Parts: sequence; C-alpha cells; structure tokens
Amino acid sequence: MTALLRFWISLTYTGLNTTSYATRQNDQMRVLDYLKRDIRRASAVEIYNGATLVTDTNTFGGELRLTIPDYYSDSREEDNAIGAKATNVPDDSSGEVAYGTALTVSYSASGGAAVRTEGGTARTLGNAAGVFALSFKNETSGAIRCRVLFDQPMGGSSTRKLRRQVDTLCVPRFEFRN
Amino acid sequence: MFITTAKDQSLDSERPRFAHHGHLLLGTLCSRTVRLRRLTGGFTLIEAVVAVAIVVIGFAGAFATVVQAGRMVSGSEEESLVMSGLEQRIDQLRLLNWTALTDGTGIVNDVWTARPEAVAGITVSQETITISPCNVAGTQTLQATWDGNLAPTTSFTGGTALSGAGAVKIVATLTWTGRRSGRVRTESLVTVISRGGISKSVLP
Repeated sequence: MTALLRFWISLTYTGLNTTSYATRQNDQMRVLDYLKRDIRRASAVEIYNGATLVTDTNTFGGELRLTIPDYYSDSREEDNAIGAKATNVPDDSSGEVAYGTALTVSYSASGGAAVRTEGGTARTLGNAAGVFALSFKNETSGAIRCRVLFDQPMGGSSTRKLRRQVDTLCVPRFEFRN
Repeated sequence: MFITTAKDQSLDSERPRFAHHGHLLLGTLCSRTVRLRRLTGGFTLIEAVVAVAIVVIGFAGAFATVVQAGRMVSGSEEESLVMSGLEQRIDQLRLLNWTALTDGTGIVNDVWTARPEAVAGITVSQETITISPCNVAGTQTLQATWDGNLAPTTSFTGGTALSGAGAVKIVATLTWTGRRSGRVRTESLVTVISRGGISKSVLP
C-alpha cells in the first residue's frame, strides 16, 4: 500500500512538472518571439551591462534597449483588440524618414520574470515563477545573440530543476543586405 | 480467515442431531463451510489478487499517459527550437551579399559554421538549403547539403548563373532525431529574398 501511495505521489508530481515545464517553455518561446519581432524592426540596438554600454562582441549584457519607429498611433492595450488605431504618417522634413516619436523598448529580467518595458510601462512576458534570466551579446556578423533561460525548482524534489536555455541569433533589418 | 458471528453460532445449535452420524457429519461440515463463506465478510486470496491487478492496470494506464504527455511536450519543444533555428538560418542568409548568397560560398563559409544556437542538444543529422530563381526562367538552382559531421557541399543544376535572378526562393530544411521518441523528423521554412531588399528589387 505504501508503494502504491508513493507511486501515486510520484505520478502526480510528474504530471505537475510536465505541465509546469510546458508552461515555462511557452513563456520562453513567447519572449523569444517578442525579441525577434522588436529587434528586426528596431532602428537602433544597444546592450547594457548594468549602466555600461556593451560595445564589444565578447561580453554579455543583461539589458537590451531598442529604438523602434512608432509606426502606429495606437493607445490600445496589446491584448485588447477593441478600439481604433491609425498609422503615423512618415515625416521626412529632417532629411530622414521618421514615424511619430520613436519608441524606446527594453528587455531585462526582474525578480525572475522576463520583462518588456515600452515607454516606461513594464509588462511581464515570462512568469516570475519561471526564474527567467535574459542576456544579450553583439555578434561580429551584426546579429544579436539572445539567451533566454529559465531555472525553476522541480515539484517534489529539493535539488532538481526544470531548466532550459535557448540561444538564438536575431538580426535587425538595417543589417540585412538583401 | 473466517470470522464466526453470533448468527453462525445459532446455526450450529440448530443441528445437534447430526453430530454422531458418520457420513452425515462430513456432509454437515461441508455445509457449514459453505454457509460460513457466504456469511462472513473477508476476501479470498484470488479476490485480493484480482483487485490488486485491477489497481496495477489502472496505475500503469495513468503512468503511460504521463509518459506520453512528457514525450509530446518534448516533441513540441524540439519543433519550436528547430523552427527558431531555421528562422535564424534565414536571417543569416539575409546578411550575405548577393554573390555570396547565390554562389553558395556564403552558405558554406559564413552560415554553416555551426549548427543553429537554438538546436543545441538536439541531434541534427542534416541541413539543406535550396535556392531557386523566382523570376528568371532557365536559371540554376543551388542545392547545399550539410550531413552530420561531414563538410558541407553545394551543387547546381544546369542553366544561367543564379546571381542573375532578381529574387530567389529559399527552402531551409533541418532533419533531426527526436530525443525521446528516437524518430527522424524534418522541418522546413520557405522565404523569398530579393536582391537589395524588397524596395530595391527589380521584379517583372
């Protein structure tokens, strides 16, 4: 009976950990999707290690700052499709094309959550329970290496963790040759 | 194993006249055993074994379900990582100049220097990139292949130089072996790259 009980408890933890891992994995892929989208459309990309701007291709920084043209005059919540939006008319009077006031978007990890901040408003992309860590590095090719890691304690075990690190290279459009 | 109840004892007291008659005594004992079995609340060994077997089969089913769920999560994870890797490949191809893209040298020397970062930990058996012209008939098609640990190779079909095309269709394919399923799986991503970017392309 004890063996059956232990088996049942193990089975329950396995199910819970499988669900938890799948959730964290989805969070992780969502963070990567946001990063790819924003990096591709950015007009400027900067990596910061604390307050220091990273300019070399060897050092990882914990914060990514992007300057993104404000293509849309859109005050809606991102997850609320109700409402009106309009495109910002491009202005070339200064000798370069500008769409409204450029947006400043940054990515970093805060308290274990993956956070995207746009115009001072922070939104959590990856749940804090996932213990996310983000790091970024310049590549010699012009690409940005994005590393998204979650390291979450496994239910039913004090030592083992649900852990996955994904690196991917994202390329700003201004680096494209074709 | 059997518990004698007050009712059983009262049954015994109902048959004192058979107590001293040989074969009748044996018949009486058998009859008592059958009645006792019917009237007591215990389980036989066979009943217990059958019950345990049913529970074990139930647990085995639940276990198989959890294992299958884990396998599906793993497969889905691989799928998303491979797609991320293929997107990276397409971006890397866009970083090449037109000549390096269309003669294959950029693929071999700049793109295929390592497996995509996103697929670290996955056993990749083959990567292929096929580049065919979008808008010029009779132009070459480039087929590049990178098998396992072998050096990448490129080959062209006959025709005029691929670099003469204004835009090319790219098919990037990655083949890998599932970590938990052991199955060979393939995923592809298709895109069009135009010379100098969409805004500069000269398409018919």
